[in-house]
Amino acid sequence: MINNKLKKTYTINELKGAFLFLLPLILFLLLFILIPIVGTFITSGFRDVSFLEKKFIFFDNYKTLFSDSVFWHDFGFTVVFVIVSVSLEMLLGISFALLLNQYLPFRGLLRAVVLIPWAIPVAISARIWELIYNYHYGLANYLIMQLGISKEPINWLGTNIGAFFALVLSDAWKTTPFVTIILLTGLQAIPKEIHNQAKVDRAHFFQRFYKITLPLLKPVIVVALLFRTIDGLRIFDLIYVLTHGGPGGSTSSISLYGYKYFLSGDFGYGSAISVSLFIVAFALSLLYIKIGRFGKEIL
Amino acid sequence: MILTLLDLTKKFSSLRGINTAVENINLEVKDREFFVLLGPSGCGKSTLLNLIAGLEKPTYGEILFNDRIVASHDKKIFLTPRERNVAMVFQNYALYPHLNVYENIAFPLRIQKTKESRIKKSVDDVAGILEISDLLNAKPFELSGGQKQRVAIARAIVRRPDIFLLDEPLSNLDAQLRNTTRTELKLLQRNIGITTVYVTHDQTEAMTLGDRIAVLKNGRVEQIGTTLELYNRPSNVFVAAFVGSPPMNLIKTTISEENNNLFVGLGNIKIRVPEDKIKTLKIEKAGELIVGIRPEHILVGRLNKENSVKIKIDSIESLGKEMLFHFTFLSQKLTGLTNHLNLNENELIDVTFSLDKLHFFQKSSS
Amino acid sequence: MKEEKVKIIITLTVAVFMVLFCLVPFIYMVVTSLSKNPDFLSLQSSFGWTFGNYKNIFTARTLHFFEYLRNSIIVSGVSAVVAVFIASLAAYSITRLSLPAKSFILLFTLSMSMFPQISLVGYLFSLMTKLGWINTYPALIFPYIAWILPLSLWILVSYFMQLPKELDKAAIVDGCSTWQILYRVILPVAKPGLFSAALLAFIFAFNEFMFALMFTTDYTARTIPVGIALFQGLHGEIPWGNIMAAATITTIPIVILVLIFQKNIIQGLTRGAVKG
Repeated sequence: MINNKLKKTYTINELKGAFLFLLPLILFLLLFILIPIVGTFITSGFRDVSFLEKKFIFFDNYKTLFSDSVFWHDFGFTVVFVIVSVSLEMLLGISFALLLNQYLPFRGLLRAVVLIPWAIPVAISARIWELIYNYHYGLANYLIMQLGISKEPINWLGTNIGAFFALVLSDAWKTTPFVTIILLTGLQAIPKEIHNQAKVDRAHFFQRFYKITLPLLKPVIVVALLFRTIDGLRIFDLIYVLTHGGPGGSTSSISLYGYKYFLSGDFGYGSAISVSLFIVAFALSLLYIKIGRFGKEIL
Repeated sequence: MILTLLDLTKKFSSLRGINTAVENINLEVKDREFFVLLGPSGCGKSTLLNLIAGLEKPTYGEILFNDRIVASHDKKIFLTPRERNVAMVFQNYALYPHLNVYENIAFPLRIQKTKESRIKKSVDDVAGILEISDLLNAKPFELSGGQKQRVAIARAIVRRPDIFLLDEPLSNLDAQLRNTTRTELKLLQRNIGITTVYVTHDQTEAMTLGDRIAVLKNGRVEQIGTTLELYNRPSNVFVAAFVGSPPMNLIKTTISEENNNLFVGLGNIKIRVPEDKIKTLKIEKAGELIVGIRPEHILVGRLNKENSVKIKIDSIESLGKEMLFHFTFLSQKLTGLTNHLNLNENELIDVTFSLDKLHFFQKSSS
Repeated sequence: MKEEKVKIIITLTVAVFMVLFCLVPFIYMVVTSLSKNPDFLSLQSSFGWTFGNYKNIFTARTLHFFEYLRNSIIVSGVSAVVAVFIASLAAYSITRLSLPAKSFILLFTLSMSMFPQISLVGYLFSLMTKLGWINTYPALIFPYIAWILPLSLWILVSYFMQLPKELDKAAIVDGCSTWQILYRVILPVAKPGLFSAALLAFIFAFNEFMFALMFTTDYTARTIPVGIALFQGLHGEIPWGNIMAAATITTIPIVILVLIFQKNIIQGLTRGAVKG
């Protein structure tokens, strides 16, 4: 009892001080992230359309949403897009990370080269890719024809399947660097002795990869995978610039669908779409935090 | 400045429960005294130092600088380190890496908003005393361990603190440097005449530096005294084993009674337990008693018929001018120290116990 | 040895592929920006060196390239500096001061960085409209600060945790107040960490698209990613040469920053994303 009393009288000022230092952070997060989220949840319960009277309609927006085939299409597209692009990124990321983890000449330079696509704003890289995918004179078709992969140019952005893979490739270009860096850090945490021991035990280097590197890297892979999944689900800028959801809405993501409603002034329905994405992303991010075991050092 | 600790207790509460770091510490450090807190890691000596410095708040008890209460649980007084005017030297020196040596030393003065001209004079003075005048423009990362340590001391004494606190300041130095620095530190403390509390786990350091030493264990004071007092009259097994190198031999014995006198046996040697020990240790008639004997009090040779035994040397360690020999006696490992340098392993020799130098301890006091 | 040979071949193949994969689009952008004809790869056309595209984006007023770039630098710069300052206060509080629920605060902040932007944008748009901030810098700066705070906080917390606690103790004993410890000791010592955080915060803000798209209407506040995304030719034809010149000027400084500070960026990224 004495102990508790003491703690209160002595540390109340300290608490105040510590909280004061934290206050600006809390204010910003509250005003520009938390309250907006809550606001979006509230708005999703209203009919909130420009030039119409605002009206509380309970879950009507969600009822509409559940029977909205365009929404389900975009939801499905987003999920498939994430699965395909994240798989490709992980594959490339692991290859690049394994490469960069070796003693190579110019390793520092190679590492910097990998970072370049990451540093270029998505919207700008999307325009570069737009030119690359140009049917008549883009680099993609030029290479395909020159290398003899196909005799006919591919209509990248004009067909559903072409647009899908155009997006996947551009997204992989932009985000593989991030995956590479994360996995590289994971690889560097594996003690060299383990590999040397395996070499002494005459393990082939493919065996070493499957039996040692991959299992030890698994936690980092899972974290990178989850992070990229959450990030991929909210994809917007790349699609907005490169395909604008086209052709014919076939590559529209949930974010883009929501955006279209906000743009047209239907904040109620736009909010309902956003909330649906938020719930999925938030659930995954809780899983991510749990698996990533963040803050372990601080606890 | 006289430093007084009254019933000082510090408990830390964590998720695992309450952990008592120091408990009911009562001691007084005299004006200008070099006082050492000695103990193994985790004994609470650093916590005690932090309490004196004002970096931790006592859970119970009081700290007084002369007659001024600087921390009191009951009176709800807590002065900050600044208000106490203490200075501290840390094990890793904690020099400010972004500041050069001059600015490191000047730092406490700048915080006090001292005039620039006075800062310059004070810094130059202490830099002269510590022989680091030519390092003033260097950054900490350019300094050797010994130089860093001098800068840390300079920073501590530059503003003439009332109490000077040192937390294992020598343990990051190599052995040779440690010896010379030790001597210099003692001299410096005498010259500046500031009451000093010094924390260490190294008993040699404690014995050579301290005017008085407090031996701590599990947050409690085991014994306070001068080097000689601790060495010659350790009050319990812990102090006996901790102070002195090589450590004191401790032999478990059984008490026997004969003609109203109590005896313990070392093999065939029968030793009468002195009357004063019976009183102070509250010895029961039967039971066990621990007899302590320092290695230098096990003499080689049959100097005295009654006190001698024949032993076989298990191993030897040469120290150059002296030699340690280890042997098994009454199935306990003992060590002797001698300047006979011609001993060999497995040799059978006579040794004599100096019975007047024996120590007696209650078993429970360990 | 056979295994060694196989390994070298695989390594080389992956290395060449990686460099091509990462650099080809970038080089294609630069080359196109220097070509008279953006369709130089087709049989009917040819390359033809020119700086005309660069000259054009600075002189053609209707493109507003300079304004977009200026807006981006101001908005991202201010956001990064303010966010890192706020994050350093918070990181100091979390790593150094007695505060309950530290890990909860950290994890909560982390989870916010994963919110989809679309779930904020509707509310923020109404808010900015009410405040009359649409198409002004504050409309971007305030949300950007909040948006890059979690990343900055994580980088700084992990950096501050590496600084020895004795530095604080020494500063306290030397007479510093809490505030003085922060600005006289911790912040100067943590300069490399602050720099990494600011650099990453700047790049994140510079990359941001959706807020800039929603909250700006023209060149007075529009940032360069949106500007370039919406570049349209006067006659319906996409001005590829101009776009690529603008993209080159925008990205070259970032690429140089990345090349110089790759170590800081890699540290920052991994701190912000994988380990605490």
